[in-house]
Amino acid sequence: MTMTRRLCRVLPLAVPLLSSGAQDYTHPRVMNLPAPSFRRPDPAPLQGRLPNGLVVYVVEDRTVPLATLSAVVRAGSGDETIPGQIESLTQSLRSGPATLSPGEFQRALAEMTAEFQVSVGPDLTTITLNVPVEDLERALSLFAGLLRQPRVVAAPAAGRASALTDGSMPGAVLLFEELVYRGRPYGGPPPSASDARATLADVEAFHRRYFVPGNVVVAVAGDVSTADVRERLRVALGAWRGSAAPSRGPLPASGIQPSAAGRVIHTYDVDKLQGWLVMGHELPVPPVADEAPLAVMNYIMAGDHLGGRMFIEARDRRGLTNDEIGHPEPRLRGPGTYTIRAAGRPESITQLIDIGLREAERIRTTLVTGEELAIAKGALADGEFAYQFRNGHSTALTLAREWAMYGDHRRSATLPERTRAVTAADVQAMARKYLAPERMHIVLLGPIAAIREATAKGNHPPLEQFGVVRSGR
Amino acid sequence: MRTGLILCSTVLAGTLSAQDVTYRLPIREHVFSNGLRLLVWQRPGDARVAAKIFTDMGGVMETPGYAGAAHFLEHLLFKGTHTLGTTDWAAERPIADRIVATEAALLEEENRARNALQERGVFHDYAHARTTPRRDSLRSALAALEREADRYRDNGAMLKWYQAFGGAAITATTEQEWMKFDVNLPKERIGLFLRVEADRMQNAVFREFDQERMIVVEQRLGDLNRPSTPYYEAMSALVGVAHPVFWPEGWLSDFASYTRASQRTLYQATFVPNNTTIVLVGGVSLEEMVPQVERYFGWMARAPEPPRVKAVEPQPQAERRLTWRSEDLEPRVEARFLIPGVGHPDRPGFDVLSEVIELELADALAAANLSARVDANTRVIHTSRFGVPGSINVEVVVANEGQLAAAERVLLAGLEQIKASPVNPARLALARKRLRTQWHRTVLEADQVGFEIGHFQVMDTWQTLGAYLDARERTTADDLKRLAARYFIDANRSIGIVRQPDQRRSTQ
Repeated sequence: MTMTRRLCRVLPLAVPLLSSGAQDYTHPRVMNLPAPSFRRPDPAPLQGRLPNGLVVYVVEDRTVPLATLSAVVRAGSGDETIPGQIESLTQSLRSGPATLSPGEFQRALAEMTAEFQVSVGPDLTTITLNVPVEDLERALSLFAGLLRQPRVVAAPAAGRASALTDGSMPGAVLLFEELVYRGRPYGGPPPSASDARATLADVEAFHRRYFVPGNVVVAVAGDVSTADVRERLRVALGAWRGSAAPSRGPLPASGIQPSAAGRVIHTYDVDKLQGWLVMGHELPVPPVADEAPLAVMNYIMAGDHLGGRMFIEARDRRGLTNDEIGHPEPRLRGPGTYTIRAAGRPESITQLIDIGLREAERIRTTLVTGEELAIAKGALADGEFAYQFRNGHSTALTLAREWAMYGDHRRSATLPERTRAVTAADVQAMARKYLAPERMHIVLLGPIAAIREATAKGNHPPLEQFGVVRSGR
Repeated sequence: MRTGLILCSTVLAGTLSAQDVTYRLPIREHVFSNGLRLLVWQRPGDARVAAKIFTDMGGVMETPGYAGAAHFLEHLLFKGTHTLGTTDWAAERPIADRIVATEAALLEEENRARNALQERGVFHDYAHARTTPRRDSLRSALAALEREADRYRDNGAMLKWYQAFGGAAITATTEQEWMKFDVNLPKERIGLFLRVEADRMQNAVFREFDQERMIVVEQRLGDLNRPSTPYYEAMSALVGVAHPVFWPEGWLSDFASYTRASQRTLYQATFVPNNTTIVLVGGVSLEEMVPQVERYFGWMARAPEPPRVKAVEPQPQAERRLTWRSEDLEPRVEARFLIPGVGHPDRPGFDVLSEVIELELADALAAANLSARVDANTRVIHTSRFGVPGSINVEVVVANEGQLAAAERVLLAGLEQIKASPVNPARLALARKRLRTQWHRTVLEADQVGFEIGHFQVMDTWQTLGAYLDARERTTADDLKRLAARYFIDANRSIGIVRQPDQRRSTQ
């Protein structure tokens, strides 16, 4: 008997509206909650294009006297050709425009009370500058300078050492990506000082190639008028010239190969109270048709921190970890990664590996329930998707990112409907297509001796039960 | 029943930014006859609502040996109710009753054997006995009953319906003075929030108790993995000697102490309508919401007012110093001073003072050729504002231990300078602008401004929020001088020094 049937048999049915003398126990399932009125904003009236090809979005949001300037550039770590280019580009963008010293740039940000962020991902670089609207003109001048001519500086290479000394989930993820990409595009940790070869000229060349109007999408949101902002953008960026947007072809497959022995566990010893696990493999570029069912599948198996099967088994039922979550991270032009991540005290570790592998296998071999499917679809279509458009600032950036990635808005126009159409069979098909628990690489960063000792003491399966164990040192 | 509306606005003529500053807080209030408070900030055009329910309770209600119990209660309140989280309450209930009885017997045995079980060692290395046969037997019986009850579990029920109906930003948080549950929902579905939270408030069932106990342990271990955590907690203990607002979220020895009975006592005393505030920010109006809230919460009776912590932090009498040795922390020197709680007229000025101190000290350290980072904040454990005295903390992280003495001199001289002469007007204007901009960023996000409204309500009243923002805008250089002179005194000072263990010390 399925859980759904049992629930239907025993849970209370809808009760008539009660007076204020007693509690209303109507079950959420039968509350007849109305459909949400939310519709994704139409991007067409928000989008403009300067004569030089720069696509701009302007979204008015009068809630507070702030303005956010964002630029999404089609360039990221996957485009690096010389080790160290991306690290130095990031540092350069954080140093400000060439017309100011880094100190002057920092002072300008401080005087405006600005929030300034540069984030370089695998496929996109995003710059955001949030300021009081009274400082819009000054911010726009800095923003334009950053895009057109940043102060190019060399970055001190960080790299692997910190991941090993810190002991953290980001550290474990870096180690996993190092395994997956092994020096190929999209590579994992930044290069070490000895590996970084990019010169300032190499960084300038990278900037010249990718930071051109046809390869950048700008978004402005806040307490502004569309006409005024479009005119200011024309003045600040209309004269910007550059070569045509570079074509970016597919990237080679990742370097990871399943070992002849099957799964491999790579251990990295750090003196901490917990261990961090990252289990997974590469994730091919999914076609549009797979976008929604893959998200639904992952949500049911291990999504959202709060309600996935792994979370329920590992946390609710067994008290092993604060979290066990699945992270499908597709990339635009080459393989991404699909990982399952968890952290826990030493005696939890091999049990968490076991749960992760079992749940990955379960969703491949059995159909999800109707209730699981309905919850995931509601969460993704009416929750996660709609929440991206909760205010003008988030709307502008969401639309700009979509245009930068795909050059249109067809995905966001149809994603809720595509999500609602996912079936249990689709979910299973996605699991079979994208999950391969038998050939996962497992990175374990933590107090290895304590993990082995606690595992033995608690009669839990040893690490070797789940794969070949190799020291990552 | 009471309704009200506050539109707080301040117009400052001739400010340095040459602009009028206005804080619009269109918060409307309705207080139900059972004491439940509803606060609504309607944002026409919003398709969603940030919904929060605050309970006026938290870590300050804990007792020695049970630190962290309030946070643990928050975790237990995700385990469901009579109607959510069970497949058959009628079958589960007798088992739940037996669990309560068995636990009571276990507590009786532990109390009887208290002298045998008492930890007597400094290094937690000696008790006459670690357990007793009856204790072990009762623990086994409890575990067996929990396994029996497992058959009726419907996991995730306090979350999954929120998820199914478009809930986002689903969180819960417990700090020293409050616990909140929140979700951001499509505005048409706000009734779901009211239905679930009313149930959570009255009918919680503490399922999977020992599993969840280990989850708060996991979270604590996560905190303790950061080398700064035990140091900052030691500093809090140095500053505050009497009030539990300075206690951390549980020492590891406390986690084993929580019982279903102690958690039930805490829950029943505090989760009552007259100790609760609902905050809604988004596409709903007060008029729409009053009948809906009445429908789900109106049946609840006003309860006795929950007991309040009586502790009062004694007046400061002497400087205190702490030397903390760590291989993993960068060397630093820190000065902390007790400051008043929200509701005291001096408190808003400390937000301005924090900003000014950061700016002034950064310059002073650079002038002294010290490579250092400055952080001025009012955090105690995780929270920055309280309705009771907290502290202002000024921390200077230096490049090496050789700079510690000089950094301390610069830090203390910088604080003396604020007492002696008015701060630069431009710097004061910048500090106020920073605070103003931070507030606007808060208002932009419905979830964040909803939190601030509820937070002020539990600290003092929600009306204080507008007055607080106004007071920050009105803070003058003379005010900062006065605050520094009154609070930055030797008797109110706690100094923390972080350096390497003796064998690793370097004075390069």
